[in-house]
Amino acid sequence: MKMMKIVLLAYYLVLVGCVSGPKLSELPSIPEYGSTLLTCPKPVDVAVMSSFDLKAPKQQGKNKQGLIIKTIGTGFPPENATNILVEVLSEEASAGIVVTDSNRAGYISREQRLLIGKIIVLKSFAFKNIYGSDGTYLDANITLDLYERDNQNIIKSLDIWGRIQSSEIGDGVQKFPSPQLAGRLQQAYKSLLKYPEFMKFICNEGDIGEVTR
Amino acid sequence: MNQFFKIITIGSFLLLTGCAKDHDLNITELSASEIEALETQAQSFRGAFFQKDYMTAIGGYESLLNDMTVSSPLYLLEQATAYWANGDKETARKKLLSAELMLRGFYDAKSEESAMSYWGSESEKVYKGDPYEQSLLYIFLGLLLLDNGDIDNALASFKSAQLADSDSSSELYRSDFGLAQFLEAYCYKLRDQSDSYQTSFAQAVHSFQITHPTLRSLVNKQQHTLSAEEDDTKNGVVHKTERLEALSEEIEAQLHKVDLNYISPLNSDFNTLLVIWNGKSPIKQRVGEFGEQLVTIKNPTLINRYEVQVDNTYWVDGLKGLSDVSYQATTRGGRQMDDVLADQAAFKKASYQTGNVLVTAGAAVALASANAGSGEGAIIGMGVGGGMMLLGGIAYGVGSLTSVEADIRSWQLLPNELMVVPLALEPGEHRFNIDGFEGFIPRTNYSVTANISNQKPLNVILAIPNN
Repeated sequence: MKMMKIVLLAYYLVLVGCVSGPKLSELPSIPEYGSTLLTCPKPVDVAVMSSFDLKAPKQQGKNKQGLIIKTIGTGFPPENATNILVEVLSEEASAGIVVTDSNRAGYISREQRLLIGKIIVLKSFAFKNIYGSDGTYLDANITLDLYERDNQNIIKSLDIWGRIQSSEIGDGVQKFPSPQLAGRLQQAYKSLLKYPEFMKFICNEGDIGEVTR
Repeated sequence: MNQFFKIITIGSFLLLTGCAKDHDLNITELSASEIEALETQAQSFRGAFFQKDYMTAIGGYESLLNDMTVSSPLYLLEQATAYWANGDKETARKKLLSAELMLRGFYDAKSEESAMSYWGSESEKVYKGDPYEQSLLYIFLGLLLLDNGDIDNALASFKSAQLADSDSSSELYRSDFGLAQFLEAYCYKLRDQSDSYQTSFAQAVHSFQITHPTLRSLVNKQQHTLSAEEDDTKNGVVHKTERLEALSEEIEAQLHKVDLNYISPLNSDFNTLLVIWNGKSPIKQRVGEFGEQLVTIKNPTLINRYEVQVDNTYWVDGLKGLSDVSYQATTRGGRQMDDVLADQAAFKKASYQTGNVLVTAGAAVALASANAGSGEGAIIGMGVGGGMMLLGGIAYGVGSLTSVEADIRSWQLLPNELMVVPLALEPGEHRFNIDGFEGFIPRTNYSVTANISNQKPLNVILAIPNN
């Protein structure tokens, strides 16, 4: 009977291991963007756009072992990803960024265009789950191109990560964070507001201040 | 009576008297593969058009038009577009009129019978165009008639454009082709019919609002709900209008959020309309086991707005939202023809299955009888088995003869959308510097020059960007 229990337990562990993937002893790190929200000294007008070919993450095929790689977020609407960026930048009004919701298929006038100084183009977004022995990380990755008005050349391209981490609720039990994809994207977009390289570009290379929260 | 009415009268006379039977038209009968072969040739002329090699395109279509075929209306339309792009508005207008004359009967259900007698046995294969193509035929024709000073027939043409966009037995789909309504309003203005002008202009503004990107999904939901309720009524089910009412309220609330200041130049005094061609038309493809279903696929373009500098002095916007061809082509729901084709495909599949069953069973009966010996019963059994195999072969043959492939011919020399710039210009030569943008980002620029006449009710300038 005891033998049976051991076998069942072993089966269970193998199955759980297969479902959730191997757990890493050490979680891979993502770039640090700082913990402080930065701010532009003077309000700046920026436009947010989806890139022409922005699409939800594409389902990948199989890995080298022939196992199907499950891609997260294949059904996430690309326009929602852009709308969340608009929302995050708009909500953080203290950052001094005035966002024009320009994700309207070009229904803007010349007059409106000339009000804008900088343009943020969301190029791609993707999601990744990392299961570690000491918790779970739910990551989002975004890539952006930054433009200046009247210039068709990309000034900067950025590759940014956002992370939601599980928390220990006692006795080694981890509380899993919400798997909401929108929440992960929000984290990635908030990383932008802590990232000096991005904020210097948006604020016209001027002095950038800090907002302590 | 002007020339247009004369052409219509002569055409109607010919149709009514039956003088224009297919033997008189001398239509060359074509098989499906021959129609495909013509399309393959046309594809290279379409390529020439988009390379701005208009003379090659015009000459190519001329060769396709040597014989009168079921695709002639399509190639006339495409040749007319090439003539217009090449600056020959007069020939373009005449070609469009010829195509319209060939197709008129099919656009009006009441006279479709006479149209069928006009085309004879080939009428089922005639390119007729989808509603959006028919609307654009009439918009192009109306613009060229206006440019030629023919206000009355231009007005009739813009009305026909709206009719083509709203054809439905239940009138569920009302026209939302803003450009046709705006141009109709302009014709009324020229005729000093201010009440009619106000009505048509208000319709154009409403179409701009309900086809605006912020409202499209809501309006589509409303159309689906209306359609479902219509089906329910036919089946004796009581309406559930709460959802419809909620949608209507939501749409009403959103209507007021659409920035109408953007289209305020439409309500100005102008004598010139710069028409900016953007992108390529939607494409049609076959799907389904036998290619029996037709899908229209949008052809999105990087550049989605234009700014125009007039005579190196002031800037104006190319106005979007009046003629989004892709939207018009893809938002009418399944067209009736799809159902017919689906039934034919089902018939073909059933024929194949019946054939397979009969051949297999027949072979089994025949084999079993042959193995049973050489008596009378065995001979009868082999005969029955052979007969079943023969019937199966016939059923299979009938299935293979049934043509179910959807017709994917379409007027491909159309834009993804047309943008318009109303301008009040002095007579003489003018220059337009046109900048194309991907939203806020500049992507392209080109220039167009045109002579403006004060003798025309409207100077129409077609601007096609460099690819």
